[in-house]
Amino acid sequence: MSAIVHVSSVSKSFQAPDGRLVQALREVSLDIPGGKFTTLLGPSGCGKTTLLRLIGGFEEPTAGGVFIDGALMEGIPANKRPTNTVFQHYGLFPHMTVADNVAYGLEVARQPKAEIRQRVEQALDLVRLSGMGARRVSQLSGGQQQRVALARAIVLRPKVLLLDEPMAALDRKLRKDMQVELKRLQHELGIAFLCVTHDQEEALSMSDLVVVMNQGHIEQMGPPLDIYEHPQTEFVAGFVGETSLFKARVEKRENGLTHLRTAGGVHILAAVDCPETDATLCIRPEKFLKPAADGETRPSLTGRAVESIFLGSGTRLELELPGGERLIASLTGVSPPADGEMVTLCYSPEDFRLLQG
Amino acid sequence: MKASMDNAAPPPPRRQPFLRPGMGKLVPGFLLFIVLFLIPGLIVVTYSLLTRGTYGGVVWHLDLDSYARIFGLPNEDELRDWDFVYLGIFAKSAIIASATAVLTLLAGFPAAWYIARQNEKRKFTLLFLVTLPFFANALVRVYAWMLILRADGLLNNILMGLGLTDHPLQLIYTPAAVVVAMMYQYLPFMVLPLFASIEKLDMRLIEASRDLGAGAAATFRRVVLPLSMPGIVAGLVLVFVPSFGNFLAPTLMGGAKDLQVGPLLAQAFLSARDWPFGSAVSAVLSGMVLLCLFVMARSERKAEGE
Repeated sequence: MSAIVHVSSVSKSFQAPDGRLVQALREVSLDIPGGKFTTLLGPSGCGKTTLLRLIGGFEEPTAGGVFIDGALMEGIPANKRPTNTVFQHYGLFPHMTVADNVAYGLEVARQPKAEIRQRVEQALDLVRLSGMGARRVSQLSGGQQQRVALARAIVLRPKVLLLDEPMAALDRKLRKDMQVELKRLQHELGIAFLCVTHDQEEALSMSDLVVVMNQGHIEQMGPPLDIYEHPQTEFVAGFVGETSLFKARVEKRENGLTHLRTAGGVHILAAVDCPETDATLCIRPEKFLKPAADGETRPSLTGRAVESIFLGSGTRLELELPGGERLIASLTGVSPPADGEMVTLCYSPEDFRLLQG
Repeated sequence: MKASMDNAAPPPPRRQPFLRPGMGKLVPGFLLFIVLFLIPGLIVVTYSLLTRGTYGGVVWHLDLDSYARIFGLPNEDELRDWDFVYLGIFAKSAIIASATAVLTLLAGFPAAWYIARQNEKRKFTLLFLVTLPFFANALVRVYAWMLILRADGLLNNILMGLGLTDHPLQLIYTPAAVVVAMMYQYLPFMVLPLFASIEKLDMRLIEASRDLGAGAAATFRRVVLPLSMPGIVAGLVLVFVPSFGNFLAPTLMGGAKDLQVGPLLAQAFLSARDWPFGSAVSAVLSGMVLLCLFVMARSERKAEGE
C-alpha cells in the first residue's frame, strides 16, 4: 500500500480573534493510501478540516511537512498542487453555466477547446448531469449543485480529491444516495479520496480507511470494521457507534479470562489481556443477547430498565446496573420491557474490549 | 432517475398589469422627478428651439440654428461654413470624463477591496473617511489642488527641492490637472458602489478558483472582475456623468485653449447671452448622458443573463 499523501508531524496554531493561540493540530502524522477512500472523522473543532486545508494548500503548517506523491508541498500554493477540493459550500461560480464551471480548471490550464468540451461532457456524465451543461448554477437544486462541484474537481484528474463535509448541506435521503455515488465514483476513477466528516455512519459506510481525530490529534486509524470492533480509546468507542463503558478492577485471571469488578460491585468476565489492575472496558450494544430459555451458561448482567425505545428493526434498551453504571443494549425480536423492570442480558467474554488510558 | 425529478422548470412569468397595488409608494419620488427633472428639462428643450433675444432671454420664434451650430452645419444667412469646433469640445470633454472615470476606477478598486476586507467597525470608519472630502465645499477642494499644482505650488517646490527639475513644470492649466481635480472630487462615487459589490463577493469563490489551478491574475480576471461588474459599471457612470458637464475644475484648472462643455455652457448664458444656444448645448449633453445610461443598463442586464 503506497501512500499518495504523507503528513509528517504537522502542527498548526491559529491566532484566535481574542488573541489566544489555538492549537488546531498537534504533531499529526498520517499516510493516506493511493486509490483508496479515506475519511477524517471527528467532532467539530477536532482539526480535521484544518488538516484537509493544509493538504489542499489553503494553510501552511506551523511545523512539520505535507508530501504529495513524494514531493514536499511547503510554499506551494493551492493552484500548483495536484489536489482538487469539493467544498462544503460548493463554491460554484454564480456568473457561469454548469459547463463553464466544470471547464474552469481546464480553461485556466489552456487545454485545447475540443478536449475541454469532451472532458466536461465526460465529467457531467460521470456525475449523472448529462445535458445540464447550459443551465445556470442558480437553477439547480442542492444535490445537483453538489454534483457540479464534484464534476468540476474530478475533471482535472487530481492525485487526491479532497472533500470537505460534502454532504453537510444535503437532506437525509439525498445524503444516502450521494454516499453510494461517491463510493462508485471513487471506484471508477481509482484516485484517492480524502473526505472530512463528523458523521460516523457516513465514515463507516464509505471508507476504506477511517482516521478518527479528536482535539488536534489522531485517536485511531484503520478499516471501518476495525475501528468499530476494536476501538482503542474511550473517545473512539464513544464517538463511533454506541457503547457501554465500565471502569473496573482486575480480581483474578484464569483460563485466559479476566475477572473484574466495577466500582459498583458488578462482576464482569472478559477475554482481555490486562496487565494493570485498573481497566476500562467497552462493549457494543448488539453484543448483548436475551438469555436462552433454559440451561444458559454464558455470563450475564442484570439491571433495571430505565429507558427502552422501539426502533422498528429492534429495541434500544438502557439498563442501570446495581452499582449505578449504565448499559446500552440493542436487541431484536423482543418486546420492550416496561421501565423499572429487571432485565438480565447475556454476553460473551470475547466481546469486551480493553481501552487505553 | 432522480435528476429528472428535481428539474422542474419554474412556471413562465405571467404578464402583470402595469398598475399594481403598492405603487402609491412611488408618488413622492415621481413628483420630485416631474418637478425637478421633467419640467426643467422640457423648458430647456423648448428654449433651445427658439430665437435668441438681444439682451438674453428668448424670442418666441422657432429656430433650429443652435443645434446646427453645435453639429457644425453651415449657415449662409450667418456667413458660416462647416465648423466642428463645438463637436470638438464635446469630444474632448467626453475623453477627459472617460479618462477621469477609468483612472478613478483604478485608484478606487484597491481601496474598496481593502475596506471590504476589514471588520465591521473599521469598515464604517474607513467609509466615513472616504466621504470626508464631501464635507468641504467643492470650490475649496479645487482651490486646494490649485495650490498644489501651480507654478510655485507644493508639487513644483518638492520636485525642484529634490533636484528632479530646475524650473517649475506646467502642471496646472492642463487636461491632466482637470482630471486629477475631478478624480479627487468624485472618488467617493467610485469607492462606495465598488465597496457594495466587493463586500457581497463570496471570498470562498476565490479559494475555489485557486483550488482549480488559477493563479492570482486569472482569478481576478475570471472571478473577481465579473462578479464586481455591477459596482464597476455604477462607479464609472457616477463619475463619468458629472465629470462630463463639470464646470469648476475645467474653469479653474483647465487651459484657455481646452474649452470644455461645462464652461461652454456658462459662457453661452453669462457672456454671450445666447440662451437658445446654451439650452441646446445642455440638451445635447443631457441626451448623451441618457444614451450612456441606457447603453450601460442594457449591457448590465445582458451580463446578468436575464
